Amino acid sequence: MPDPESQQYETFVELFARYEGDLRAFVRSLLPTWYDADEVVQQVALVAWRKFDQFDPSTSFIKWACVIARFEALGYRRKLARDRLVFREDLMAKLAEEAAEETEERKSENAALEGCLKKLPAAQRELVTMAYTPGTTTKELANRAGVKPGSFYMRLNRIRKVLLDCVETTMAQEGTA
Amino acid sequence: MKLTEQEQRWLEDYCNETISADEFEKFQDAMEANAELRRAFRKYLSIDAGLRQGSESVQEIGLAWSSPEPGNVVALPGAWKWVAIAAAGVMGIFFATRPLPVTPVADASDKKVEPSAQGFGVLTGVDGAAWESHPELAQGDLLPAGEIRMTAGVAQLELFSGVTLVVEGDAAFEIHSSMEMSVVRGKIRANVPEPAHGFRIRSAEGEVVDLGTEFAVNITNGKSEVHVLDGEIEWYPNGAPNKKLMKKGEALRWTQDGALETLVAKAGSFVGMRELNERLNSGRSSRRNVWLDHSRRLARDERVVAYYPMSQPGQWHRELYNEARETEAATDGAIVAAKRAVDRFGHADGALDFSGTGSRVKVNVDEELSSLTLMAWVKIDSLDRWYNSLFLTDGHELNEPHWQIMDDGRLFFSVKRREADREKKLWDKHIVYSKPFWTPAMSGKWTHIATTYDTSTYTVTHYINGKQFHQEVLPENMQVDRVKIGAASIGNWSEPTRNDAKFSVRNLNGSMDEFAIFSAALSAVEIAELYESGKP
Repeated sequence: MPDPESQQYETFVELFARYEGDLRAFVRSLLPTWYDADEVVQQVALVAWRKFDQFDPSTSFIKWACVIARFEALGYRRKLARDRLVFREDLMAKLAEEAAEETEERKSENAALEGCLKKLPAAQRELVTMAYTPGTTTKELANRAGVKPGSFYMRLNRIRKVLLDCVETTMAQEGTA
Repeated sequence: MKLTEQEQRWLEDYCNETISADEFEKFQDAMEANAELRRAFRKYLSIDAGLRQGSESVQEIGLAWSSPEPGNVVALPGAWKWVAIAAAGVMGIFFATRPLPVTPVADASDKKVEPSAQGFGVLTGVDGAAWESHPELAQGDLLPAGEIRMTAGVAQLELFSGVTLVVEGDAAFEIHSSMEMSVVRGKIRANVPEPAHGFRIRSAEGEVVDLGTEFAVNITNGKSEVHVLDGEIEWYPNGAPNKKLMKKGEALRWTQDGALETLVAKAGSFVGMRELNERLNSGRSSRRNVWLDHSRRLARDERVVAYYPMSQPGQWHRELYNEARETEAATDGAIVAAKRAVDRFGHADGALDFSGTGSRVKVNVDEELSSLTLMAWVKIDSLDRWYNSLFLTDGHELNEPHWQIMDDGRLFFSVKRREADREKKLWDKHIVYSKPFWTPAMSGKWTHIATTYDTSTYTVTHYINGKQFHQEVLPENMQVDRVKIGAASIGNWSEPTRNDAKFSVRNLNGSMDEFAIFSAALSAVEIAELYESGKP
């Protein structure tokens, strides 16, 4: 393990902080819930730091971290209870492999999303903020918002759809899509 | 890529963690086959990730500022967390920044999960209904979550609260709970018994709350109506300060621009439960007639070795006639403990219920068969035994078939090839399992099950509801050229050589109303025809 007091540690923290969101999204696309993704990303942080000596700074950090994340996710998958709805191993591997090729695309999407989020009406914005409060389930939130989970999900689905359309339009306009 | 509605729903349900196990399987299959879908899936989840990250920073920046100890904030989000760590410069902290898991993931091996199913009600009657949103939806199914779109026909829905709904297409609606639904368009008649008072239907224009006992709505784009057929309702128009109490015989029409008109309630404009029931009965009896015709032809098919339709006259009889006309190979059956029950066409005493322990029909089939088809219509209540019998020969001798369902819903077929040698780990047969076809959500639904064994290719094929479900060639050392049956049981297993009274509980927890054995492996087309001509 590299020395925590070194300049290297600061570099690592900086890199990890910059790409943590992308990494989290990558892991989330392999595992069934955000809880699972958070667990694995935490593990990835540890492993990546341990192996940071082996990272070649002239290459892409996110691609390097995704390789680690892919292995951690596969390992985590094997520990999951059998009744959990988790992707078959070969499908998971395929998803991971393809995702690693899309990091640039994700980056421009994220930039577009920021703009799109600002255009979202306040009420929807509030719903989104509520929906992603860590440690609460959508069912609890639906109760709190006074609607049934079904319609809560439906609203979330609609918001995601609106944002996705907005992101795609933005990217098409910028000629990146 | 333009996603189909089904694909879009998979993404949404997966993302919301509300996808059912069944749908998840289909989703995985589709993803494996379709690179574009995988791509769309990643894109969708990355939007979700972006939303989450955005939300975290909004909330938790606030938290971070208000915390007295900045280096020790629990669950600092995204980049902010890292700022805190960099400031602290100590590894230990950053692993403490996420809350520890509350419930550790249990080891799969020691986890016994209570079976569960999802839905707020059951689709209990269907007359020509076409489901745009859920093409596979059939009578007896649990109502799916999310918007349900029906383009034509009439359907009866029974919610767990006791509310009965009759829906006429073209309709689009969503069941939010057993006490609440929303309607985009369509005619819906609701019968609300006392325990379910307070049931509400929402539309874009307002909300109807039932105070008992029957009302109907007709929601269209331009104008909508509510009719009180019996009892009282409350009508809450959107944006208006006051509710309106409406009594039996009153009706209200409103248009998009807010104009209101009072009318007289017309029950005749909405299909009611009784009318639908009459339609269903006539539909069922015409399907029963189709089946009867086909059944008579089947009895004369020379490949039919044994044929036991269970709707036979004389319900006090404890004999079940073998109706196969062309051979004398099989005896009539002896009914043991099994009780007469309602058959798949709704006729009393047309089926046998094997749920009582010990229930069976004993038969004897005295002919060696070169190939084989087994076919049954069954209604499974639950699979609570290890082995749930369909048709098994007594004991298990060489060349004898066993046909049953495992507790996890897999169909099981085998023909014994040789004696097992446990020490040398030599098995006596090759078991052809399908993947699970049955889940608790199918409880009480009639299902057509058929399995063929073709000795010319040593191929075993399982069919569920007329469709091929699994196919497998027996391994070379397990191939059997001729099938023997002899003494056997329908719906249970008998161990003839044992003298003690203890026996394995393997009876089918459910009913059967038709069973046949053929001395040939029927083709996929023939199996489909058996299903089509016999479906209720």
